[in-house]
Amino acid sequence: MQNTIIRKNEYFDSVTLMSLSSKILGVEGVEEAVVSMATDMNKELLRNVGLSTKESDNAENNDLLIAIKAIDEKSYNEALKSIEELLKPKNKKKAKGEVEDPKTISEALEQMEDANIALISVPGQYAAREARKALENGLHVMIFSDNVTLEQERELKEMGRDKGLLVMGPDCGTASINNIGLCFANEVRKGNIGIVGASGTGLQEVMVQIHNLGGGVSQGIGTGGRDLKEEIGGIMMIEGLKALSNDDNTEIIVLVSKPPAKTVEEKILKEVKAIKKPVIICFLDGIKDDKKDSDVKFVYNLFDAAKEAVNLVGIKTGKEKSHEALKLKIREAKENLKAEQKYVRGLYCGGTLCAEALSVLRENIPSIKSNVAKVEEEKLEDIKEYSGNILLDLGEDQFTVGRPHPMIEPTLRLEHILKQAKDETVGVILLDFELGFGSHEDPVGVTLDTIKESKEIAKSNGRDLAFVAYICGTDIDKQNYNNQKMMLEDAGIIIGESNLEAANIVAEILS
Amino acid sequence: MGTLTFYALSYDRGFKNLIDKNISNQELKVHSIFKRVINFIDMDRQIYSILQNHLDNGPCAMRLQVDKDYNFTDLNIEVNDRVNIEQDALKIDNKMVIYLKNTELWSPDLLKIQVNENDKINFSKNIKLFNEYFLQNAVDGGSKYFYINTLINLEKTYRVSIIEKELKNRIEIFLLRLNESLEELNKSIISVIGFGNGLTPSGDDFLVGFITALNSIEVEKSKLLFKKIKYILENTSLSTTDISKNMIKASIEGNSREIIINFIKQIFNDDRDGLYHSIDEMFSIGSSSGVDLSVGIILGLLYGLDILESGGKEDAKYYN
Repeated sequence: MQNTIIRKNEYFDSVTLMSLSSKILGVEGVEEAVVSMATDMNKELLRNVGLSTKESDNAENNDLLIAIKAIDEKSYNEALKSIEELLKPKNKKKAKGEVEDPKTISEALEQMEDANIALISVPGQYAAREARKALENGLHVMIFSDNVTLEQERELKEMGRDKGLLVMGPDCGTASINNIGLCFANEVRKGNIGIVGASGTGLQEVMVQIHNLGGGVSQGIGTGGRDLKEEIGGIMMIEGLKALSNDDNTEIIVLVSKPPAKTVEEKILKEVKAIKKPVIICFLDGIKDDKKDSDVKFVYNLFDAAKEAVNLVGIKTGKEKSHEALKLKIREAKENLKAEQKYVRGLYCGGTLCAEALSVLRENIPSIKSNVAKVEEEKLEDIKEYSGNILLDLGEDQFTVGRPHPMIEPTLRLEHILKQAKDETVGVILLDFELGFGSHEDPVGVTLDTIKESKEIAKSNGRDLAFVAYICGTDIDKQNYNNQKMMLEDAGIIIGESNLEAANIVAEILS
Repeated sequence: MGTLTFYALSYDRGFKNLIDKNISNQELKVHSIFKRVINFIDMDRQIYSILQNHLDNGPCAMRLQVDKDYNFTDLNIEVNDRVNIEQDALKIDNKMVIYLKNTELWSPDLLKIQVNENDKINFSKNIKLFNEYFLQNAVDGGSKYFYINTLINLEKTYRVSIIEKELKNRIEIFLLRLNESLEELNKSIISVIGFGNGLTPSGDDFLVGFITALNSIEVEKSKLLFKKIKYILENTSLSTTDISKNMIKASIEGNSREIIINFIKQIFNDDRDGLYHSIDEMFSIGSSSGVDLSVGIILGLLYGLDILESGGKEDAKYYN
């Protein structure tokens, strides 16, 4: 069923017209809809697609055209109803008592007097100013924006510290406050483990593993990656520790970061010693030394941080699950590789997860390089032309210029997967998939066809290609963890239950 | 409701000329009313706009001081109400009076950018930032599909309407005909005018952006094409809405909105945050109008700077 409606000399603003168009297209059974002014060119289009009528042909430039093609009368009427609702004069105004979305912090505070945190996500140039306003109004602040100068960051953090308020960020991608996820965060069980972290996916991974091991999280406080630099001096790491120390819901504290500057580390350790609650410190990729302290437990990977915390709560993580099936898959993958297939290519969306994989794999496989490496000999010089063992963080600026971050839009990774599949020296491709708020609705689903195509490419050249994956997610994340996992398993992909395990699987296959 | 009083903040030269003419009320009448804009029209179908203060200055427009969330559609003003100008005041029927004393004249510097090598480097860098921002923030619809598919070389990630697909084809043909005969160029321009969604159809917005970009840089190739397009548009009957016709007319006369001028300046600057701010302002115009205008501007500059070939396809790799 199809028809075209004309509204003579009626002007609606473009926002109304566009929402009308998308609303009609969203009605089930509507195959096509055109909402436009009746210019000659738009009328010609209607004729070309068979949607014109005598009335539409006679309409004039300043008339509004609404053409609908639906599979049946019911869908057509449903679409008509939507149009009438949206174009009714009363719908052009806000209903009485309804308030418009706030456009400033002051307006937001007028509407939500009891708010106590502001999330700032504006261009970096304006972020500091907005954060300052929020602090002046007594709000904790999370700054998602980057491009805030170190001087501004220090000034804001000092101001926050003096007022007893948290300043999470700048460039803070993950937090979970009273179990409410902010920006990129997983849905996890409420519990008594508080985390403060200077890394986005690192914080996510610890929260996820705590949940998966049976524990729960009270708070997840992000500090922003530069907090532990000497210029900032770990101000928010220290304030975060204090906040968790004073939080009645937190009994165990986990600190996650890359190893900080020595002077900053000393300040943090001093603060940690003053805390009466048990503290676990995870210096990811740190040097394992003998920091013996009765109240502080040092670990060096994200899974161990979660496991230690859960053990301290008193939850038995139990003996290791039987890994026979996994061992079999690893053995098969190993046997199927040809002699020249010696290398791994890790294609990561999460930067901290990539860094953790590097710390694991460097001990097991030779000459690995990465764009997240800090050690000179591990740094990848050219992100386009390379060979050997490589781990790429595809969320780095080098890859995301002109494109959304791969956690939001994982299709960015697809071309990289195909590239590796054509390289005859590659034996294993390692992938991560992040679930939770902020991430793509179906990260595995959008990648699956490419994985299958890659396997076909390898097969047509007489090779087998092993895929190893890790899903950073929980069974209560909105993307449905089990579905995501099943899709990978059905495609013959080996799955690690932590990022650490995924990296170890790769090491075993290539050893 | 009695007569409501307002004070004008600023107007441009076109609006001031109208005030100075002191036209009688028989010749001006209300054309359309929106939440933040009232348009009125003269006998030559020239549209003048009364804008709320948080909108930007533009051709034939005047800005008023109003309270936050003020809504012009709440006034009793109707289409065809008479507009009268007398003694430093503009009146709409007996419903609205706007006092004009102390109104500032907005008189922007004409954009005449002498593009040097440094500007080109900034431009190239900023296009990449623009693309990134575009993918994350541009609303679906209008010329977005053309831009992401042809220029950025990505597949669509949302349901694309036939009007967007057709607009993409028409823009590609328009770009391919830029260096052909006046007749061919004429055909391709006509196919874009009045085409697409919105009160100012997307094709018009794209074209206005394109023309404005050509006219803003002091490059011979760009000036030449601007003259050809101007000649075509001045000698063609435009089948589009009144508001769009006025917008196109302003662009070939070299007049632009404040936001557009700022965006074009920023695209040659080495100021990432300033660029993002100007893109935000552009994208706030209409629904997809700001996106269409910015796509037109980028394409116009790519042509003018001699880095646009084959309907944009050749540049896709470079700008990814």
